[in-house]
Amino acid sequence: MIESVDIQGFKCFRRLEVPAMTPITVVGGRNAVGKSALLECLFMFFDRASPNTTTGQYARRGVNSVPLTPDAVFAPVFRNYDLSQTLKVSVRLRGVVEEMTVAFSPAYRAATVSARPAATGNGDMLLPTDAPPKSAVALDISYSSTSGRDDKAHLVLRSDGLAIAVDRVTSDLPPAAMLAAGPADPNQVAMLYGNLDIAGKQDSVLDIAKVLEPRMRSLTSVPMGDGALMHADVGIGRKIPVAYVSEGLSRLLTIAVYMGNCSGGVVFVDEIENGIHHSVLANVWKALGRAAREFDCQIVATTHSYECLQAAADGLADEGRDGLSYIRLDRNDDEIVARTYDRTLLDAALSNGLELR
Amino acid sequence: MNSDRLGPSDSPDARMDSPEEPRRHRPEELVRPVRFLVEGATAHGFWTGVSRRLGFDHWQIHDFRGVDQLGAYLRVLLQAPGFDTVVRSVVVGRDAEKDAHAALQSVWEALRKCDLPCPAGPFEWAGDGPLRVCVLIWPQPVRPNVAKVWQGSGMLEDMCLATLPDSALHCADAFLECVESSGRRLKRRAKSRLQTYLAGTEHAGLRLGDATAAGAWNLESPVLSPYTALLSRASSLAGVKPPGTPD
Repeated sequence: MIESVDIQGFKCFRRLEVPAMTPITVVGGRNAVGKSALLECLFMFFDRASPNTTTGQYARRGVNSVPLTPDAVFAPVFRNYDLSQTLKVSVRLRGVVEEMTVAFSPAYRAATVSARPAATGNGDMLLPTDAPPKSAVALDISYSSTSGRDDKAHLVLRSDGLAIAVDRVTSDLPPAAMLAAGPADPNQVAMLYGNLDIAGKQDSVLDIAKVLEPRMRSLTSVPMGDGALMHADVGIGRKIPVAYVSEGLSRLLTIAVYMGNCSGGVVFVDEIENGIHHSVLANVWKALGRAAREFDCQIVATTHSYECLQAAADGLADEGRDGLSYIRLDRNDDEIVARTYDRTLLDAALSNGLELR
Repeated sequence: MNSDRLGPSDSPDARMDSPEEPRRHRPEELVRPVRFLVEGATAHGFWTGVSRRLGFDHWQIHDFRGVDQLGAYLRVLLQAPGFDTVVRSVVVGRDAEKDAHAALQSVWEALRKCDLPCPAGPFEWAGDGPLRVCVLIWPQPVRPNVAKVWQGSGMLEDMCLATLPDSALHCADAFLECVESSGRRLKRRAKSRLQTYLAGTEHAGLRLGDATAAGAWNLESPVLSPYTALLSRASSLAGVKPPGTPD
């Protein structure tokens, strides 16, 4: 579980410190204060072994293709697009502080040279022994921790795309997932549900889905074309795609499935209340609180909704004083600062009807 | 105008069965420079009525409900959106009850726990930065030279009735004496006295806040002038021109 975070130089953050996070942490604030950026930064910390660690962020914001240039692929994650700066993220995970440092390397040289595939019909690989390693551009990503971790990797921008080159990795980071405000890939959700089905955890997901659809009898991952699609039995004589039952159900099911697949880790959810009627929000939070305990999975979610915050406080009333916290991001001139509400402060603000978003 | 908190009604329909503080439909934003924190719905209604009668619209009045909840409320207030940029004065007010000094101390304690400026006594300002803090106790306590503590007791209702001429209360007092002489003990005598008085006026059945808005009390009385003067001063400190002051 993420207990605290200290970010320097990521997107809009010069320096952002969040001193206390809980198993369910809700993030709020006005537009353009960095709510989604906070989630993206934390997810990048966990997702550092993926070649899509930067481009995935752009895709989740609807930018599906970018030129293969450092300015388009790397610069957006740095404060003010400044590739000369260093980005640092320090996260305390269950008492251990891990730090990720990311810096642009304009003349990265690969330590190895890849063999080129042979021409068609020839099984041998060709090794260009006459050529030295070519320089390329990369992000140098290094990790250190109070437990002795000392990893180094490079996100390399090549003419044919992105690749991760690893110098040292002792990676045993907890699993993490990032859910954007819009719909998730239904094929991916169905595949992940299959994992839970195999592990016998499907009933937990079904219980959560029943909060929104009490008629729900069963859920199935059904092969469809090249992929799979979640289907639900809601008592009409046949199973139908979950997406056709309701958008809210699809959203909640997605969150539950990812939580089940991130045991011991974190699921980041942007605009968690999307598609869910306010009258059931408290029960949704209650179910997510139960799932967080059962799957040992932290939720860090953004919201714009006061009703959603009230519902979180109501629905998670049984999770104890350390089960829920709220973080509001404020812009003070050129700085973004975090204001933390522990359970006591959150209850005081809500019971007094005071604005806290 | 902060539309989430409806004011007391002048209508005779606003009788005691109507809630003093209507249900809030959306959260309250900090939009005015003077934050006036009072204990209880009755005080909230009274000061809302006063502000309407006097044309003060620079106060944002909030009921912190009980002094045991004041500390938590202040902590939330300090980090509410807009506090740093909008609020310039925080005034905390409550009944003296049985002991004005104890009432004052309870507010001091909450202020200190939140690292807020702590005034030396009621009607005094503390803080030399952008935020000023003041504490009001009602009825107004006194501090005799020989004493170390503020002396006084009473409730908001006592202060309201003190704005009226003594003759206005003869009938109400006579009635309550009759009740007590029959052996009945009045647990909240100040409230009984106020409602008995109102029962004999055109404001019969109104709660204190609604009666205030309807003009039941003499708001020009010297009993109230230290309070209204201080709240005007709060506006001046916040850079707002109080009503009635020349341009």
